Amino acid sequence: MDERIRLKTLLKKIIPRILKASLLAIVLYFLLFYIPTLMMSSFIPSGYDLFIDIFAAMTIFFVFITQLASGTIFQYVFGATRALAFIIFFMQVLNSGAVTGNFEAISILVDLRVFFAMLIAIELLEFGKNLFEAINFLSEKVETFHLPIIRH
Amino acid sequence: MKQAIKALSIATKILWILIIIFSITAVYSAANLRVGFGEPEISFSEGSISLSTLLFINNTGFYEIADLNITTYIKDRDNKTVSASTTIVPTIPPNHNVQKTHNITLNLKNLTRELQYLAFSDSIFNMHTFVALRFANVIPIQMSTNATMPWGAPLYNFSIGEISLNLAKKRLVVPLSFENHAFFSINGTMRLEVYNSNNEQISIAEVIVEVPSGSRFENFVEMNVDLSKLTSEGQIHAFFETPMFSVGPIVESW
Repeated sequence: MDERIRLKTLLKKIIPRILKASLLAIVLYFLLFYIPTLMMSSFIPSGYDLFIDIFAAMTIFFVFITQLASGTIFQYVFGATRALAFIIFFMQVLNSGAVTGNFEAISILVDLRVFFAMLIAIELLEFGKNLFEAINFLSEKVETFHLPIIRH
Repeated sequence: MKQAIKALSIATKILWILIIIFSITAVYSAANLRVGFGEPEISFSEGSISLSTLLFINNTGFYEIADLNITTYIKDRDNKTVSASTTIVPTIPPNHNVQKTHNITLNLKNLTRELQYLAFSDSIFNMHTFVALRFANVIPIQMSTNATMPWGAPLYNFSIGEISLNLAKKRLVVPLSFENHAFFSINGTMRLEVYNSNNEQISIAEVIVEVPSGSRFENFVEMNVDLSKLTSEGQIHAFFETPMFSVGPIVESW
């Protein structure tokens, strides 16, 4: 009986999270992948399609998993991991800092170092924020655990 | 702790909003940039040819375009720089348009002096154009394109034929021929100097040469000669002097 109640409670908690995470993932898929590919495929230089696919996949994956783990310490763990993953990703893209492409007979080189540096700085802030949040979450758990029970 | 988290949350949110706004407005501004070129004009001046192209830039975006630099290099078949022309526009503020002429100058006097083969052989020049600018003051952009440009030699296939001697008139008859493949006419003088085997100048003559573009020059030049100094072997030195170029000596032995 207890098992069934516990399972019911767990499902009640999990199902809305899965639904919310899936909905967010679908919205992000359209925003970050489907629409840009549909509208700007001719503007995206060949060779950078993969980076856009990886960026969209990483964003969707981390949003889904963070949403699923919301209310637990893993929310912040995944948040920090996401920030680190994006820092590594941007550094890989940054490589030389230049995005090159060809438009008919014209070669174009766009130096996006400043732009990527800004993104890396934001991800560093996100990483720090997630660390603080994880520490705060743990300390709140400990405080709740040690809270004296006052009976009247 | 909570204040720090709140501050970090606000900071990241503000930065994300700023970066998203910047990205959208930058793409919008770049898409609204209007660039056009006028009809190229060719002008001839003392010893040089200028190709002028009018450039229109209408910046209807939100951001300034700074340090616009247009450089054109013309290189010969051996990748030697024949001409380098630069046009600089220091700044194009938002909602402003700029008209600037990009001049590509080819100094023919220097060209035919340094690269004499260009006076006699047709060739192909490689034209490399580089455009560099700073968009919104933070994004440097570089563009480059290559094109080829045919070069027609003004003295193509220049040759001095069999020299004959008119004993009665005491004159040397020198047959000369060449084709003007250049896109400009030749209006100048040709000086011929004849030397014997002892390197003594035995004759000199100067003739006016007028050869329109795409025409052939074929003529006989008669030169008074001191028969006592004439030897069975010698040399003819030819010099061309025109307002556009100077070539010489072209040495031919007999």
